[in-house]
Amino acid sequence: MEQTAQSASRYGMVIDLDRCTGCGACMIACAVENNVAPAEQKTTERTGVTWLRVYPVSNGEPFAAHDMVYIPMTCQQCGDHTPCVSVCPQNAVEVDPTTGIVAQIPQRCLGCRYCMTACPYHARYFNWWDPQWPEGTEALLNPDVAPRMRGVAEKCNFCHGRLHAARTKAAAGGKKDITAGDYIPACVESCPARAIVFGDLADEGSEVSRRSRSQEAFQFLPKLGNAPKLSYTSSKEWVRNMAGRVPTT
Amino acid sequence: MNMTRRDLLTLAGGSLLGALFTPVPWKLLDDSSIWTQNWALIPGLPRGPETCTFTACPLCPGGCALKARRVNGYPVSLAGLPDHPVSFGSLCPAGIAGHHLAAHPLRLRQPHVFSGKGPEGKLVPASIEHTVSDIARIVREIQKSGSRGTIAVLDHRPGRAMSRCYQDFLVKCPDGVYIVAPGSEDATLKTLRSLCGFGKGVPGYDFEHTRAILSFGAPLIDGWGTPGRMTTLLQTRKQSGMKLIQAEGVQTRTALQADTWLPVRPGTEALLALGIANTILREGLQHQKADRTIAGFTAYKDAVARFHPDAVAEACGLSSNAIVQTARTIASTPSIILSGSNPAGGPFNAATEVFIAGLNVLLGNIGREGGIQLHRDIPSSTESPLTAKALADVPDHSLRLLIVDAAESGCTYPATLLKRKLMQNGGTVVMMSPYLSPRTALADYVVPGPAAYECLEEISAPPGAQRSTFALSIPLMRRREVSVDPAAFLARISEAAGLPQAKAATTESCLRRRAHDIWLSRRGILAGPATKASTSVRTLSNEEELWKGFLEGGYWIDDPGEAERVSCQSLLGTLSLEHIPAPAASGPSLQLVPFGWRNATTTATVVPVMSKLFQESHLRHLGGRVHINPATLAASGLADGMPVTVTTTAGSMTALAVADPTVLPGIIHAAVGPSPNNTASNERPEPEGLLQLCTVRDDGSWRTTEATIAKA
Repeated sequence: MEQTAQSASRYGMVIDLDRCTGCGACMIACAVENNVAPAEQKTTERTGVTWLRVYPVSNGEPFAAHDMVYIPMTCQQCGDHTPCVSVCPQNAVEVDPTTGIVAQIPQRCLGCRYCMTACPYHARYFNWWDPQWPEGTEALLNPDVAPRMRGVAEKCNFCHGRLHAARTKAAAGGKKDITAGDYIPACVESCPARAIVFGDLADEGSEVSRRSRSQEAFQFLPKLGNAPKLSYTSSKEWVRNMAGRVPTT
Repeated sequence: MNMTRRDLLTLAGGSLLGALFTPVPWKLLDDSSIWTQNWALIPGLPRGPETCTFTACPLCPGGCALKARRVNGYPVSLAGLPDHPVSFGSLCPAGIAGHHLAAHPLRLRQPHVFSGKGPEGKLVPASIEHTVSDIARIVREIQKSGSRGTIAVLDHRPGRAMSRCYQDFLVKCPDGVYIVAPGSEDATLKTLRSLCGFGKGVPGYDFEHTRAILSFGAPLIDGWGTPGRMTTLLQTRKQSGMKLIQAEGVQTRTALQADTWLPVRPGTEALLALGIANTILREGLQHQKADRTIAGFTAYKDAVARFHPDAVAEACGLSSNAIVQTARTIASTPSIILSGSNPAGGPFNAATEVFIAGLNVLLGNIGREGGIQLHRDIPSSTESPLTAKALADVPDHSLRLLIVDAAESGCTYPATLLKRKLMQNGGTVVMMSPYLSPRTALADYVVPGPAAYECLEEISAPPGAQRSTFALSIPLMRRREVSVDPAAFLARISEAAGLPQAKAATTESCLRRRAHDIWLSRRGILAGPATKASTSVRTLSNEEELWKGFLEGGYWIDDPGEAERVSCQSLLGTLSLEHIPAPAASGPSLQLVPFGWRNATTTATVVPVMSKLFQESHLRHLGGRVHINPATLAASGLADGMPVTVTTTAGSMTALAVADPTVLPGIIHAAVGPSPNNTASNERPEPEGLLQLCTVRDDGSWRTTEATIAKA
């Protein structure tokens, strides 16, 4: 689907792995913002729903030479040949031409999980159970994001509710469109280490665009040619090599 | 035209085939997916007017300032305030979801009494009148019997206005004892207080101007101080040139971010500190006036001469060069040397704490910019009526009635430490806790306190802060009628037991008293997060104005002012030279080292959504797992994922073995993690997990315990 050519904006992220401490604040902020229900008793790491998941990754060396890095992994918002879009029989996945955001529409989802199989980043999750919060938590949910039902797939959408809210606020203020900084996803806002930079990749002067072109920037599985809008930076060579580094410049 | 059966079938077949090429089947498929959704099971979303409230997180002593987005009066999200002068704008994961705590499935809805202790004991609902009457009866019995046991309050977060309220209650009781819970975050500062004459000055770390930090196990970027301050500190390292050296036996998050990681063998930190001291003294790197200003300097120097890095390196598991380089790094610049541990590890033993804290004295870091500076305490118009006692210092089997504070310190400690202070066959424990937790398993009475964001709570400066601060955690939701205000609860006990009434009968009146004292002092500024403007307290016309500022989320920050000077310094304090260990002491072959995470240990109550970190991913570790180096695991004939039995002198437990290359060989790193999804029966709290295998020493430390592992 060649929609990126028409995009007015191309929202993307650059995550600095040297700064990420693996605290998990982004994961919790994401779950609270997007009304992702807590785990059921039987839920495991394979059946849980975490739109953003931080993976501890080791260099595989023994104790003295051992090194680690924490990698926040979420939907990479593929720009070209988006695998989940092409396999969905329900048109439940769409790329927004104005933002470049790959959106999941749960009401259309059939629950076939083709998209999960197709996603090379394992960034899609399936609701194996009805979403359940403890009694009394309903009043504490985010009113901007509808909870998803059992039997549908879901994933990160760069906090679409926040984008809508920013646009509404801009319109109320007489502005035609939002400006940089009006809209940032919850994970970016919550990161204590300021490891995540978010913005419009189409704006070459933006920090996110500049960082995505740095020498230390890399993307995961670049050989697939999906043009993900998430880049990572690390000063450690083994980390860059692990992802199969292809310079993004 | 005659229609034959063949024609009919052809028409039907053709129509069916043709229909496949129309949008109808796709529409049906689409609609069927919508019709089959379980809409009734999806919760309704809140609707109503949207507001914003500035408040502070009450979950730990960090007290991070935050902004709450509220819909229909209820908080729906919390976010840090980036420009905040104290907390620097970040929240930890527990804080981000802190507003969900009030709806925790294990929230207590009324007071409970344990009918029978031990495994057969059950929590039985009781009325508050019945609970107060029972406790008052015990107080009267103690009054009558004279010396048979004492009444005590265990404060999890000392220094608050509520702490003063506890002391006011205890001072009216016969032999009332005010006890503070163990914590490691301020261990070095406490030790320095015993080594140096601080007077009324409060020590704090000047991290922002230091050039080197040597941390003995303090999780500086993973649950220490405020997340905003510590991460900002690390980010500005390139500009400031500050070096972080982390000494601990596990490659923790702080060790990964450190400039140098010293994988010291647990239990040998004292040797490492003495090896560093030896290098400093041998190379003449100590403070220029050390020999004149430090009491017992020559004797210390002679005693430390035995600890040449070559002599201690092997026992510590380090190279002697690493010890020498560390000594040179911390000696060449203003530096801070501090101890600490994860929230389940507790402090080091007293001697180790002295050797570590003493390095600051040796290098002249006390009262120096970039070192440990003194500031004034929060204003108070009256002196504290009681001196705080550490839990370890309370005589064993001396407590007849122990009231345990509901506030969270973020840390945990083994239950045995508390149990052995209670009178045998007669000690009564009253826990004020909003939730049923493993800690409440110790209680005879559980009184439901207000949950986070349900009532006003005090936010004072976290340990290590450079100035005194004060703020309020503003309630974000209505308090449940069943929850009991701790101050009011004490007042009811006083009344029922015939004790003189305390001055403040509610938490709010305690806090107002503190605000009054601040206003009277005319010190400091009130920083308003909403307007981002600061107002000097001097310019406020009355105390109501100050109180109103606090209710709007304002932070009081003390003036830099003149703090008391350090009057004396010593390297060993009351410790004698005999406490200095032999240079080549070697530890046991396998050691159990507990670890947890602030506000998320086994005994803490975490919101169910924390399952994202503990259950739905491997980012944090659930309790009941032991992390062991793959080489150690293989040497014991065990493998990753295998159930193993861990045995110490305190007992044995089955746990899941996890091969973890971040752990030093010879260590059983026992996860004291929470159960975010634990909604088990309200009748019996879950036990405290692997922490119960730790041996608590006489000085109240439980950092390492000799252990064995075998296949379960």
